[in-house]
Amino acid sequence: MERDKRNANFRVQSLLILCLAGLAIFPAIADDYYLHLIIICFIWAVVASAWNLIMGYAGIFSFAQLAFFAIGAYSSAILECYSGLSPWLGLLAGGIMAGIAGFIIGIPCFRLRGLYIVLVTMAFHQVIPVFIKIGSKWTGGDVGMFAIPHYSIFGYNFGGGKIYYYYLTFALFLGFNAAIYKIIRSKIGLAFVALRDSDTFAESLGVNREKYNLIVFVISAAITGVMGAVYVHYLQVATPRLLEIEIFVGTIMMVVIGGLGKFPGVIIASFLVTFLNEFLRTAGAIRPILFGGIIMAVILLVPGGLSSLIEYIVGYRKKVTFSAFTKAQLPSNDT
Amino acid sequence: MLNSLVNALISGIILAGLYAVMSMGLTLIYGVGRIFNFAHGFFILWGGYLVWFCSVKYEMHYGLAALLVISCAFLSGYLIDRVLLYPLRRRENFAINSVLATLGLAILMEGSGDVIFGTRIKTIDKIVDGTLIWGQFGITYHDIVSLGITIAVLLALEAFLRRSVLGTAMRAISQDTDGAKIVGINVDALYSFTFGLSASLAAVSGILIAPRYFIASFVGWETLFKAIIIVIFGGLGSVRGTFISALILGMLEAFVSMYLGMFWVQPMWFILLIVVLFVRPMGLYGEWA
Repeated sequence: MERDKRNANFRVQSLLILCLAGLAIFPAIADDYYLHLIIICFIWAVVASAWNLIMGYAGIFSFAQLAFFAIGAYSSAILECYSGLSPWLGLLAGGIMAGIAGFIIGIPCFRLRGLYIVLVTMAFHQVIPVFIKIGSKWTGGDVGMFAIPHYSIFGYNFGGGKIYYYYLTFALFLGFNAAIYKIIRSKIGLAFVALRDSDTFAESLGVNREKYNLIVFVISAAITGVMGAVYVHYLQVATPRLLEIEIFVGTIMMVVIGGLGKFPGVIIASFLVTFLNEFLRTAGAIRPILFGGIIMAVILLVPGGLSSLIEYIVGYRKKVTFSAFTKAQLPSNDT
Repeated sequence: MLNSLVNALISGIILAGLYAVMSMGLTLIYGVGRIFNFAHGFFILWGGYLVWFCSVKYEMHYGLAALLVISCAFLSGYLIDRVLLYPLRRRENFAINSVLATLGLAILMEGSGDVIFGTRIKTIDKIVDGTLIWGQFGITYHDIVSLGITIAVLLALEAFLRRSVLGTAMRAISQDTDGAKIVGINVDALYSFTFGLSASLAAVSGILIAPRYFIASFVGWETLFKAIIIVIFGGLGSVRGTFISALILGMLEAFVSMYLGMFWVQPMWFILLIVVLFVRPMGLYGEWA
């Protein structure tokens, strides 16, 4: 048994390392178009992963993730366009402002349950464009902000090529996903899951619901805010289009297809969805029909999403190959 | 001064009526089936689309078209509950699954509406043309008719819920699902029936709203978000709460747009929503599920 587990772990790890190595040397063989696609994938993978942390693991149905994304994006953009400070500070500012927004939205959610949180966070999402319009002197209103400065490091301007942004987003992708994985595996993550599965029981054991709700809101919002800041610096424009329903749907699709509360599935799904989105760019009205259909089909037919599908396939193969192997070759191992 | 006050009052009452019908279906299906239907805005929009299709494209009589659309809405609501939500009800995590599934349905309806009816913005003639002018106050006949229809629909709904056997059964389910099952109510059939009723209420509201504004796919989301705020404010699942909150928010919208401008309506609604959620998170008449 132990050997089975170690073998499977080894396989998963080697596959993971292979994938990451592939991604690391990818710029050597790819042209700008594919680099751009992968950069977008990295960004959305982190956003979807942070959303999965709050929705899948903590079980809080927050629909405000893109509002945090936009807050991070706009606060970083405003800081740089009007103060002339280093863009790297904007990265921090985006995270901090989004974290504060998460804190503010987290507080009323203490007193709310289930669906009410969906509705309130949705209303929050809806009201951000209004605030952008009110502050149009700073944010550019409907038109948005343009010519947001590129990052630069040691005199290298990131505008020089996509490869800089590729490695920046790759690093953030690795760092944030590792952090989210650590959080899920830590005591905090256990508390999230306990509160999700049975909040009364968890509270009776001394898990502080308010505290952990705030923690998950702030962490998830701050990570999303940083990615929002990177996103607008990469594209150099920030418009209220970030909050459009299309992007919202795309992101929620990543979480749904990946499987709620399934860490690696969501990351794979965010790559899939970004590519699908790109290839259907010219399809027009077919795209929403297809996306809506996919969401409904996944929820109806494959409730656990991609992850459960993978688990099913891997588990099935493991059963056949490993048990046959160990029984035939290593009978002494059990005794 | 008095003049504009009365005008704001009149338009407030008319808006309140429209909003009440708009959000009643949403609150009804939540109260009975614990489903928050994200496709509700698109049921409303499709009501407008289909009436446009029947009355403008095929030059059908308006009343006949409305009747046809409402019965179609009932049927499709029933079927959607059977196909989409019935299997989900058998599994765990119904709350979030139903939200995501109806969100998918909303996107599907948005896209297919664009494909079937075209993306061009559509308008429908008013039910009755002309304006009633009385001294300094004016009110269009269409608004009078739609207010009349609204009041009739709401009274009929109230009577249905209070007096009829089906309505009583629906209230029983919303109070205690297990108890309702024990006394022999066919819960699943009633869920589907309620979904159909909710869809036909949405169609009625679409028919009334479409001539007043216009029909385009983004209207679906806008009406949904308005309905969401009305419903949270009144308390999810409470028919009376929804009615009162529609009255308050309709009045608020009329006065705010009269004195501050149209732009401030949405922020004002949101501020009111936040205040209510801090003071009474379950809404005016709501209870925790």
